[in-house]
Amino acid sequence: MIECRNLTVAFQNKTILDRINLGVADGAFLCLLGQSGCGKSTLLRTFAGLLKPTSGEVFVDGKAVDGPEKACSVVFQDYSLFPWMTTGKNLMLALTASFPQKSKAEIRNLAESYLEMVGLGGVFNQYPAALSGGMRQRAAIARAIATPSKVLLMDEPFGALDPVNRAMLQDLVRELHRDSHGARTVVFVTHDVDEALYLGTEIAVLGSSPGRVIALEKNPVSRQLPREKLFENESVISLQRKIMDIYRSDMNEKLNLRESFHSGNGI
Amino acid sequence: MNNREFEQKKAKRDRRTAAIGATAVFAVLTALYAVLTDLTHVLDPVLFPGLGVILPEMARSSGELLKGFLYSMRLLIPSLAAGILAGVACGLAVGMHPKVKLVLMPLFRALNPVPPTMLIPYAIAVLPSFWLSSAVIIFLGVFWPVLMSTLHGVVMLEPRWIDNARCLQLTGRKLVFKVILPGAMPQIFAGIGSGLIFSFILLTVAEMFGAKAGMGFYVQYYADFAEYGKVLGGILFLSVVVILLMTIFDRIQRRVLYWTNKR
Repeated sequence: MIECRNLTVAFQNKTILDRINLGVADGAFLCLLGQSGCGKSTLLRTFAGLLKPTSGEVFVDGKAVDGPEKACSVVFQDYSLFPWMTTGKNLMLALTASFPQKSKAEIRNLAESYLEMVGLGGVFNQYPAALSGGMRQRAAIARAIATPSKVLLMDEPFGALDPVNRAMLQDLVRELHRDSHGARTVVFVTHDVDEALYLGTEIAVLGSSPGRVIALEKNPVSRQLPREKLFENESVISLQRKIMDIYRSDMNEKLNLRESFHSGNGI
Repeated sequence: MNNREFEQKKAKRDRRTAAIGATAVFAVLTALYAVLTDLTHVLDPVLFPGLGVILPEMARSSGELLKGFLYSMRLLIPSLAAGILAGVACGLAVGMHPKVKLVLMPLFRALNPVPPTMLIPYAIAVLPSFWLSSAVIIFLGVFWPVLMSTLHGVVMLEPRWIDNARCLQLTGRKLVFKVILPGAMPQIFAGIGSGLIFSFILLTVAEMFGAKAGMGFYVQYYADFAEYGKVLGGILFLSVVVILLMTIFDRIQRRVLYWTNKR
């Protein structure tokens, strides 16, 4: 569904992403893991067509990405909804853009039913500011799945949520992906290894400075286990350990770089 | 939720306190004026007639004041509306095209600070009627601040809102009216606010030379006859009108910018 070839992104001589080659199969749930600043959000932005790569190419659904496409819908960390519209109007705006031929009443009904689907029955007329962070992300997810996109891109969507809300929303996303029966491919950016193990069918680890794929793992149990059983499973534990090790060595590498820089200056 | 209700109540209470405070200040100033004029006659009674003179004068010429009000509004409202509309429209059109903006910005910077009052003699010479020349002067006084603030508002738009809009495939009118215009509204309203204050000044200035009626005309006309009771009455009436218009503006602003204070 998504394929990037030799993707490189650089800003003012600083290479953010270095020759990334990555493929995401139809219906997969890929978690992009990496420490902050490694370029995982940048990679997601190139998938979304919000950012043109310096060199290399991205293909989504067989087409070279050149600007935002209908095939993708995006959930950002905390600004997917426009604050000047009610939650319902926010959904309706996205829906009218995807279904220009539908009547206003149909669009309204659709928006209401998608809000209900994510457990937000009564907030149609409320402004986003009146909702909690978790409710806002629910609404953002409702908006993203209301459009007939094949790819759902999520940029640390639960990063700002409390643990209870985060767990509930992880369950929601897992359910929605399962119920799509392979019709939706998800790319989910996070820095939380456990979150990636719980959600992802595949996990890619990005190393930092410059960003590159340092590991690509298949989740051995992907989705067969409920949350409480997941970290009792041997293969999950060993994968968790492996990813943590990769993560740690990448972090150390970055720290060592700094150290040598300092010692070079005689400090 | 409860927190929000609490905040709303607090805001209401604060507004009430402010209103009471403002009334108190007004009352003290009025009393002071009464003491200086009617009671002690410290001030010159011709230039500063007492309240005992001003208020009856106002009552007597209420018909004239009302007529002046209507004349002034007939000039102010269309000029103001045209200035706001043109300012916002040009601001959006130019602001959304960075290259056009780059070309036009030096021109804007040069023309924006020219005081519209300087153009009054020229406007009278060029334009066929008094009404039109005054209207153009007021229009310019509103147009520039609104244009500049709209441009600023478009620049200040959060890039993430634009990203969001692009992901939703919003283009053309939808993009302008659903995202860019509402997103720039806080700045636009700041511009309209200064344009509004400017328009009152320009209105009265314009009316003082050549109008046949209007609130500014009333003050100027009776000043020529040294009827300072009427002059002060006219100024008082004018300030009441300005306060009312500003209150309406504040109400509209609070409503439109509902989302900004609770983001």
